[in-house]
Amino acid sequence: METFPQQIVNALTIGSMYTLVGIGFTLFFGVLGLINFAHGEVYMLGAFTGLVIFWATGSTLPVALVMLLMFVGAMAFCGGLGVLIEWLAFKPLRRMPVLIALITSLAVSIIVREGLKEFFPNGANPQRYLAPFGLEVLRLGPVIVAYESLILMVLTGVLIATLYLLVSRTWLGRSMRATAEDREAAMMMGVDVDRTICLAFFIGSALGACAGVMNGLNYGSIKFDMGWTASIKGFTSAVLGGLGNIYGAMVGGFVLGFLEVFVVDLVPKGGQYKDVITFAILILTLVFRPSGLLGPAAGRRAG
Amino acid sequence: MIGPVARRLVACLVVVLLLTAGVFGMGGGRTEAAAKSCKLATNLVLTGGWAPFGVGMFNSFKLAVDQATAAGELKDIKVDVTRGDNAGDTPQGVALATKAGQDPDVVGAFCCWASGIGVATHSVYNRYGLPLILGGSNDHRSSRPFHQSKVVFRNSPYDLINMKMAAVYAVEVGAFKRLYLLDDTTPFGRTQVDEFEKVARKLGGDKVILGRDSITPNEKDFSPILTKIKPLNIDLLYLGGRVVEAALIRQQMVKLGFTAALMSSGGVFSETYIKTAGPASEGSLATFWGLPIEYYPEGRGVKFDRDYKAAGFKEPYESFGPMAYAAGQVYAQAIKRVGCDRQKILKDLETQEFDTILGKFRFDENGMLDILNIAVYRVEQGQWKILYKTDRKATKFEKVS
Repeated sequence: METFPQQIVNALTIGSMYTLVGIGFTLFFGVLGLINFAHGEVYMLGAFTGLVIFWATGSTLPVALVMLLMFVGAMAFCGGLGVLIEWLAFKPLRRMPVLIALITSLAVSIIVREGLKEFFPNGANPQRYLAPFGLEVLRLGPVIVAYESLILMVLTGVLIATLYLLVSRTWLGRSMRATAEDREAAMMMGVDVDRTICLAFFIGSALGACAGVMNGLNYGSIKFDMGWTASIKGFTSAVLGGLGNIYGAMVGGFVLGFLEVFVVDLVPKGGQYKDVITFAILILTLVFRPSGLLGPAAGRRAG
Repeated sequence: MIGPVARRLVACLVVVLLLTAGVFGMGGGRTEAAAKSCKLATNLVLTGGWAPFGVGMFNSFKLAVDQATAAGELKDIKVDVTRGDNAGDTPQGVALATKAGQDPDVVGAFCCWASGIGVATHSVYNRYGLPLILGGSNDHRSSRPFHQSKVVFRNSPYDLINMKMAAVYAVEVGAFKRLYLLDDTTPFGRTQVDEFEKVARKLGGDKVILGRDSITPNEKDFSPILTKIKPLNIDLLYLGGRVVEAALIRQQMVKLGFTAALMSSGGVFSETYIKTAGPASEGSLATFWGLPIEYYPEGRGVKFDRDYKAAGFKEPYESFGPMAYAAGQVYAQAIKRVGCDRQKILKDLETQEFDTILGKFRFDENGMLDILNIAVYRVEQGQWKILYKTDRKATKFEKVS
């Protein structure tokens, strides 16, 4: 009981992290019907891009500016990289069954992960990240909140809101939803489908990169295989909430986060059984609600 | 008269005959030299996540053999150290072991780093009667007497001994009274904590262990489990796991306001742990089956350090380098005494004394060397500092001033 307040803070942090990765998955599925497992590696590359920027500027510029540069630089670089990946790996497969693209995305994921491990200096080992607040934390009575966690939670809220507004209120968002409903009809209505998909990949990848940098800042270190675990959790969050639904990714992320935290806290040897119990609950949920907790009614996908 | 076609045919025939003679001639020469040359086959992790350790071991092993050759100790015997990369993958390790066993020129093997590979390959080496020195391979099931492969020898103690001394330190020497145990669910981490727990309960009673749980490798956020443990007011968290998770756990412990120390073993005893965990690593404890380089007898460690640098290897020798160097010295001394013969080398390893960087030692009836250097280290001012080391038989700790 005494641990509940702290565990709630822990769950909000973990849930925010899962949400940040999940919204990328939901965006790709919403616009393209694509389950993109390369997203986890773009997230990882975002973290490493941020690391390189930190190495280049960390000793000469103030911390706040370095952090801003890390986010902006990683998002720009990985956004562009996402567009490149789409053009190379997914565009040729647009007329194929989506399953083919899923397998391709797995292949891209392996290439990027192993490539970084081999070619990045000391790539196999964990890399220390910028710790903007060192070991300082905020104490609210018995509860401890890391400043980085606060930033993470705020960032998650801002990104969810922004993405929702983008999809529902802008021309680009309408184009994305039209492309998702019926690609050919959208083309006939004057939507530049190629450009829409390109932009969707740019935005999705930039979001992933942002999540990667945030992960590094929050946990103090990154490693070449961080993308794979993140993919599993992020994808699970998106599915749990309803693939294609942006708020769904948030609901799914926080439900998953809370589930994990309270299984560990309340179940004896909870640490050992956390994943088993959590995924069992996920399976049960999907049995009764296959489209996820906030999933759209059968037939509709995005928005 | 010989026409142009026939002339060309004859010319080709002459060339072919000359080449064949040349090949046989070289072959013949090689066959004569074969008795005076042999190979030592390595089977280490040279690529992948653990590569820094494996490459350091390979370089150190090779250095010892090359030095013996250069000093003229092997007379006119040429010993070639082959580079075998198992990439930490068991099927590859088994393939390398089989290849070495089937090659009649290979008279000794140095394997495996990964415990799983040690467990999988000892019977392979045994089948071919190929002497094997195990480097790393902490799991006792890779060693005698837990199997009957008589060709297996060790250049460092296995987990039962290491974990026993870790528990002796924690409960008796360090006098920690409120311990919590975490394993990382891998066979390596689990076995470590199982053994530690057994001895800790025996020495301190059940009351000394306040609980045990597991963490998942590749997780990043351990605050749920740490928050659960915090009300128990522990003074030591013992982790069976690797650097990545240990560094994260340590940082999160400090942020959550734990006063307890974090203790682990060989999986965490590395510069990378200190670099990754940063200032939070201060006060972390680890046991390891190796001493700081300047503690090896008669300055041999310091000399090895100098020689390694002078040899121009790009990579550092890491924590397992000195033991690998000792293994190379063992084979060099055995070959010097008995030549290039597997059976004779096996007998030599069983019966003789070896004079190495670790000191003078013999292998006991289970192939374990009789110098068991186990030390306790603590991170102080960003470096691992030695606090205690055991006597030669690892029965008790002595403080190191």
